[in-house]
Amino acid sequence: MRKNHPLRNSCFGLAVLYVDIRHSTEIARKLKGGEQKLYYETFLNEMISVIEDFGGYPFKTTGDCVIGFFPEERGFQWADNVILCGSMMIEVVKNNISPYLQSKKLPPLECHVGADYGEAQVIKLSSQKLPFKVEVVGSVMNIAAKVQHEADTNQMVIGQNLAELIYTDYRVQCEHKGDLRFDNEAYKVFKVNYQI
Amino acid sequence: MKPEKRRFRLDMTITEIEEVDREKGLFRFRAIPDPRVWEKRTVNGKNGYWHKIDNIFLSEEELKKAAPTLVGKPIYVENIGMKDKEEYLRRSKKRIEEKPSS
Repeated sequence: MRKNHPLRNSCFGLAVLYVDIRHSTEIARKLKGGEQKLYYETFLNEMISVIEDFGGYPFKTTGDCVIGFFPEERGFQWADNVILCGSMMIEVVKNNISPYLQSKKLPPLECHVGADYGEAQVIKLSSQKLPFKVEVVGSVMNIAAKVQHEADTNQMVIGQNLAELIYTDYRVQCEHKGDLRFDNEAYKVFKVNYQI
Repeated sequence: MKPEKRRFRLDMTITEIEEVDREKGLFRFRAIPDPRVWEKRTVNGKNGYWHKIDNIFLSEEELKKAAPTLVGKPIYVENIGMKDKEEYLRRSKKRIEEKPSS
C-alpha cells in the first residue's frame, strides 16, 4: 500500500524524474487530431502509472513530458526506485507503447528519461483559475531538466547527486556521460546502463 | 546554482556474522565498504577507503567516528531489483490496451 506523503515541509529533499517523447514536435505535426490524442494519451497515462507503481508521485504533465517526484524518506529505497522506474519506463515504451501505437498505424514512439536529487520547496499559487494550486520550486527541478537533455533515445541519465545515493549494483553500471557546469564547477551526468 | 548535497550513501558488505543473543535478536558482524567501488588506500599517511567513481577518500578514523552513531538504528530490508519484469510488462500491456478512449 502506498504511503501518504504530504509535501508539507517548507524545504525537503526529493528526486525528480522527467520523461518525454523523443522528436514529439515533428511527429505531432504529421498526425491528425484523433491520432495525436491517442499518441499522447497512451504515453502520458502509462508513464503516470509506472511512476505510481514504483512509489513515486506523478506531479504534472507539460505537453509530452511527465514529471514524477520521489520524496526523500528513511533508507534509500526511494532513490533506488527512481532507477527502477526510469529503466522500466524505457522497457514499457519499447515493448508495449510503441508496438501498440504502430498496431494503430501510428509512428513508433521513443522516449528519454532524466532524473536528479536535491532540495525543493512548495509554494502556493493564488489564482483560482489555475489547474494546480501549488508549485514545487528548487534548483533540483531545473537541474533534472538539464540532465534529461543529455539523454539519447530510449536512454536514462541521472545527475551526480542522485548517482551518489543509489545502490552499488546500479551505480557500478552507470557510465560517465559528460558534465554540466554550475558556477564554473563540473557536475557529472551518468548514463544508466542497468538492465531491469 | 550549484546543486545542494544533503546525504551520503555508504553500502557495506557484511561478512562474518556471529550470533550474540538469539532471544534478544542480537548479533555481531563485520562490515566493509563495498569493494566494488571502495578500495583500501593510504592518503597523506592515513589509511582508509577510496571511492573509485567519486574520488572521495574516507579515512578509517572517520569511519570509526561514524560507527557509534549506528547503535540502535533499525536495519531496513529494501527491495533490490525488479522481481518479475515480464509480469510487469504483461500488466502494463493490458493496461494500455484496455485504457478507455474518451
